[in-house]
Amino acid sequence: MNLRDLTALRGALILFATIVALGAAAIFFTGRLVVEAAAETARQRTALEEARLRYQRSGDEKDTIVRYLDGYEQLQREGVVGEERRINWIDGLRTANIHSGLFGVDYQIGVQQPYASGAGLGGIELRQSEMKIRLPLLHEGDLLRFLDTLKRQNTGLFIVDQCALDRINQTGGSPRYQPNLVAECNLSWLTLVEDSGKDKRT
Amino acid sequence: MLAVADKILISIAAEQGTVARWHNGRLGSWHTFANDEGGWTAFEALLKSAAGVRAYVMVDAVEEDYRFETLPHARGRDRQQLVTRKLKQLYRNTPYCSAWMQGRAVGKRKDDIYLFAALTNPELLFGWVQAVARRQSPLVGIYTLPMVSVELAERLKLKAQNLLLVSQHASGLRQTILRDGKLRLSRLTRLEAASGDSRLEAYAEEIQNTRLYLHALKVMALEDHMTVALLDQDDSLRDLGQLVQKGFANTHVERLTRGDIVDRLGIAPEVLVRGRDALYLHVLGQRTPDCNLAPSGLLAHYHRYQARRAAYGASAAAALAATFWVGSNLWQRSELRLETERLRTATIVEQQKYESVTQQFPKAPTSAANLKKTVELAAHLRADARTPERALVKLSHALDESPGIFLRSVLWKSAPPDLSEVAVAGSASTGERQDHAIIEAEIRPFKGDYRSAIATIDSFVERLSQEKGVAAVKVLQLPINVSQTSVLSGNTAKETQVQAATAQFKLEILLKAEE
Repeated sequence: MNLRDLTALRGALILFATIVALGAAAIFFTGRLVVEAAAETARQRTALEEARLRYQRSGDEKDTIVRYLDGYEQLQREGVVGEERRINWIDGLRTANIHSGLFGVDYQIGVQQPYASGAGLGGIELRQSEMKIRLPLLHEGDLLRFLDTLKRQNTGLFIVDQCALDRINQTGGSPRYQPNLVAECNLSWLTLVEDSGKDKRT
Repeated sequence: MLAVADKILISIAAEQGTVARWHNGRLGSWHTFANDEGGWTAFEALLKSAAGVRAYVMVDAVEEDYRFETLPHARGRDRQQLVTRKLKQLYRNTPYCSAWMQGRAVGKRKDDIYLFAALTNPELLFGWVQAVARRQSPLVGIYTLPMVSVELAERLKLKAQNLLLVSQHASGLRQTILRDGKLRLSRLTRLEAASGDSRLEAYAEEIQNTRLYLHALKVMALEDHMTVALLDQDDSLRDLGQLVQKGFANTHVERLTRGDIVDRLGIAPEVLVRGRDALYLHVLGQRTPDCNLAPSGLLAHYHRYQARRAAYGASAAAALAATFWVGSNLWQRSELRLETERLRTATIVEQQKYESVTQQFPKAPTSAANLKKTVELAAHLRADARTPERALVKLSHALDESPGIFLRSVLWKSAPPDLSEVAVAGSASTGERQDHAIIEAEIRPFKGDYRSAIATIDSFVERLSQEKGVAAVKVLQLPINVSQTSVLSGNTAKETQVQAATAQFKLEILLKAEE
């Protein structure tokens, strides 16, 4: 085929190329539409299966609600679920100090942040606020009594991360009602909140 | 309006050219041009009005040649070279020649049998071909009238082994010999103007001469049976049959009247009236002979025409395929959307059923799953919470039995709670959980006897280790470092003085996870 042949065929070849290009574009575009429609169908099928399963398990769900609702509401009242209630914690410290007959408690509460080991709880987020307390003691039993009293206040949920006990007067023979020890403890006050956007009741 | 199937059919004789338009499967307009400058110019004007229409040329002239030749059997390029060489050898002076494969010879070598055909007077076509070339009409081929006769005989159902096809033309009497349906020889005899019986007698004589000629060429013996088909388009050869049979008794004469021709070919009767070539042009319009005398240079426009047609055909096929594919995709999409809509409706129904059921549920601030998880998690955290009590109790037991140990400080650390039991997959397991405590103490009283102090410490460590719930006790620091990898210095005089030195040490107690 020479140049003259190509010149003579130019129109037909341009037409062919145009049709092929337009056809390929149309096929590609409609192919994408099919893929998107198939994906939407798959999503809707999954949603239907989930809806059916949820309906089938609605009896179990009711049993679960009946079983755990009271406990959940109790946690809400204690401030374990929902927003922190720091006033309650401080009241708890004051009460525990009085009931334990101690010399007062210094405290410092840090910023709330996600609990380090609480990831992946599925719909529930565990948060912590670190509280540092410093309390003079007559003897180490006072610390244990203080912590036990604080726990009984039901003003929230905490765990003790660490405690350091040091002697104040190491010469011995201290007068009565004078602290011999000082305890410095780190407590984590924990709250449980519903993870935003996850597993909410619809 | 031009149709793709339109053709220009051209019959060229020595005196004139006849041009017919082939449209919708039948002969249309009909023009006759003289074979001179004026005729060629008028012919070119006609071609101009039919630009792009394929042209077929049929030549009815005395200046033709047919030769049977055998060539060694070959294939492909070798065969092409053999044939080309033979054509050059036979027909040096004309470009209008070709070879027509007729079959294989009987014998060991099985040579290829060819009919070599040519128009020996190229000048005859000059004006016509020039006009076609100037108008760039797609010339499909150039054929002789006997080549078209092969197809005509088949259409007329003339199947005799030795067939002599006789027809009248403006240029004379055409006799074409077909053997087993294949062209063997053809003669065009110019006859002086004659009429009536004298004309028929002249025709009969020519036919008898042809038989003698065939005998002389050893194409056919005189005693061989022959069928003479008289194409009597104007019904003027009624008595010719008897005249022919007078000469040769073994000759069967079959006269085809205009009615017979019309019946067998399905040609319109009025077409036959237009001219004696009409019958052949009709057959040429229906089917193209296999043997083409046109040199390749004249076919360039036709090849471009074919390529253009192929490109348009490919375009149409591509458009059709794309349309089908796109239609299929759109149909699939439509079906999927219907299915999605059906699923959506079913989902809504299921959700409504669920909502209906949940109306009877106790009012809850969150989902059942979250209720359960929250309560269980809180319970777990409470149950797993540690205090320094265990460590202090173990330490107290050991100190009770070690009066020489004076405790200075205790640092207790709790392991974080293990949430793996309440967590979902891939998260919060904290592994081995061990509380531990670091204590700092000293030996009192200490009078510089490190050996005794270390023995006291060892015994304290031993007591601690034996406490239930203690996993291990590590000595982190002794009152004196006796390691050979460090420097040791002091004053023995001072060490004997009371309170001159202290014997402090540091231990780490690891508590078991569970007692």
